[in-house]
Amino acid sequence: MITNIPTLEIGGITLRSRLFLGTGRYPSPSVMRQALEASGAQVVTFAVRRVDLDVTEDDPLLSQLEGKDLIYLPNTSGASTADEAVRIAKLARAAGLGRWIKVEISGHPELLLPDPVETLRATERLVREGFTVLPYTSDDPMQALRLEEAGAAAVMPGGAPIGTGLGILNPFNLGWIVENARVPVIVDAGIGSAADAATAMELGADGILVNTPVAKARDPVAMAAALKLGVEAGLLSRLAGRIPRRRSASASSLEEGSMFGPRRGLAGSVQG
Amino acid sequence: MGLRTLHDCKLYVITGENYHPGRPLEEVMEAAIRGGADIVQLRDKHAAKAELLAKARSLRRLTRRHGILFIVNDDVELALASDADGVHLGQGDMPLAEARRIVGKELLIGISTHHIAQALEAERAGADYVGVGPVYPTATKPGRAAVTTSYVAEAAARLRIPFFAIGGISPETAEDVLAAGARRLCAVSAVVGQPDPAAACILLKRSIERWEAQDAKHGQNSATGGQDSVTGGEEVVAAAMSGRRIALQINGEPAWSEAASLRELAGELGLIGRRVVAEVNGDAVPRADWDEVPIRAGDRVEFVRFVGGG
Repeated sequence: MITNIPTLEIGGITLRSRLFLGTGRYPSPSVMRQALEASGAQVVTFAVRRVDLDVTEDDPLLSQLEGKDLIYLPNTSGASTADEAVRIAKLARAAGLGRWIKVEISGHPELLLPDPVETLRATERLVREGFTVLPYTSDDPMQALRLEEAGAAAVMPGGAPIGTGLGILNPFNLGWIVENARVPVIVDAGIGSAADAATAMELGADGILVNTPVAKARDPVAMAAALKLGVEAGLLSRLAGRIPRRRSASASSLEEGSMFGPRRGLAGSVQG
Repeated sequence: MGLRTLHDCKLYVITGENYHPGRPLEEVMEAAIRGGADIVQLRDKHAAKAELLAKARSLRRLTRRHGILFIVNDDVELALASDADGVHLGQGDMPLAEARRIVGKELLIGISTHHIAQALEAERAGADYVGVGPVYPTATKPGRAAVTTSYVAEAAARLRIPFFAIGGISPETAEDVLAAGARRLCAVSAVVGQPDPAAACILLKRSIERWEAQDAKHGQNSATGGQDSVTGGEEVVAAAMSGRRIALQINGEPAWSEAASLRELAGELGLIGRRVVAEVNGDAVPRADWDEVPIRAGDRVEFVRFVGGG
């Protein structure tokens, strides 16, 4: 029995949960808060946007999160260049909510895939500025290495484009990234359900970041709980050591002492 | 295309051939018109009478083809001879009453004014519009003291007839002048002295239209230059005349403020006590420093907040 599941450490902080939760698009702030509790997530993401100067009431998001032991991971969504991403990061830091930043520079209007060049530039600059940088990237093994070199505290490859729920489209690439990374790998984007989360963890991911699959599930709170279990199941499953994949069956029950011999003719013809 | 009325005219461009040596007058003015000039004034202190008449007739044809107004500087006879839409008089030129006797009601008469008393007098005497300036020192009228945007604010508060802010108006200075309450601008070198007069006009016109849209959004009378509608009229005038009101950009939109510091600006916007973060000219400012960061004309200020996101 595996008793000591390794803890995940990012930017010098030991995390109690490997599930990161986004805070966007929930049916209500209250559902978001309940989903956050059910997920057990410690790292929460959010976005930075202009204040609507015509509206005087306060925003509910941060008040929902106040008083909890959370690590804030603001993203730079809305930025299309490294300069813009750096500005957003500095605004987030000026709020006094920590130094973590998720670099998210989407270069394509339909696929929202990250712009690799601007993402790398922003990562380099923000690392120099003392941020704990977690860049969102495509599942490109080479780019993951470059981001690591640039000083990223973790790399966050997408399993599939944001919000698609298509799961891990390229297990080979993701497997390659985790095998070669010296920093934690958080699979960000593309997860559709608990099964996808488990798959990613079995492939060797160190954690999962989800938003849409929880916020847009029919029951976001139940899905948050399911994803928590999926992440834990996938991690345990990997640590437990899966059996090798084989092309022919291997009986679970011993053949020895069987009351009957193999049926004649059929098996023989296959075996030649 | 029918001729537009003075009321619809926002951008007034005056000729200045010394600013574009080697380029024909018609070519430069046509570019200005394509960029959005609503009025063209022929101003030429050097040409001989016959040459002046030829220019006036040429510009008359051009402006008529584009359906915009044509005004002649100083010379009432020339205005009539060239079938211009109006004549523009300086303070030292023919008195308004006399000009009116000659041109009748059919021609527009505009007057240059350099302080509010002159403008009010022109309005009383029946001027159709006044020029308010020079707002900034200008090469077109060297040696004339700039009246600054405080006269613009005064004009915006007190005049009923249209006024055009003039003198050093360019796409760069336009924001401050519009912030002071002008909604009509007049330019010379900033248009005709540019390689691309059309582009300069487009920029000026765009600034004017942005401020008009802002007025409309806040339900303001454009003549007052637009303050918050809940503010009393007296306060508007007082604020405008104090000269402390500055033009800036808040969250990408033109705005104006009396704030001296970032904290005061946040107070004006009702953001104190809210979970917002500020950036001035691209630099994030922690809340603890809001008192120390001054607000100046032309500053680009962003107030952001945190919203749900993945």
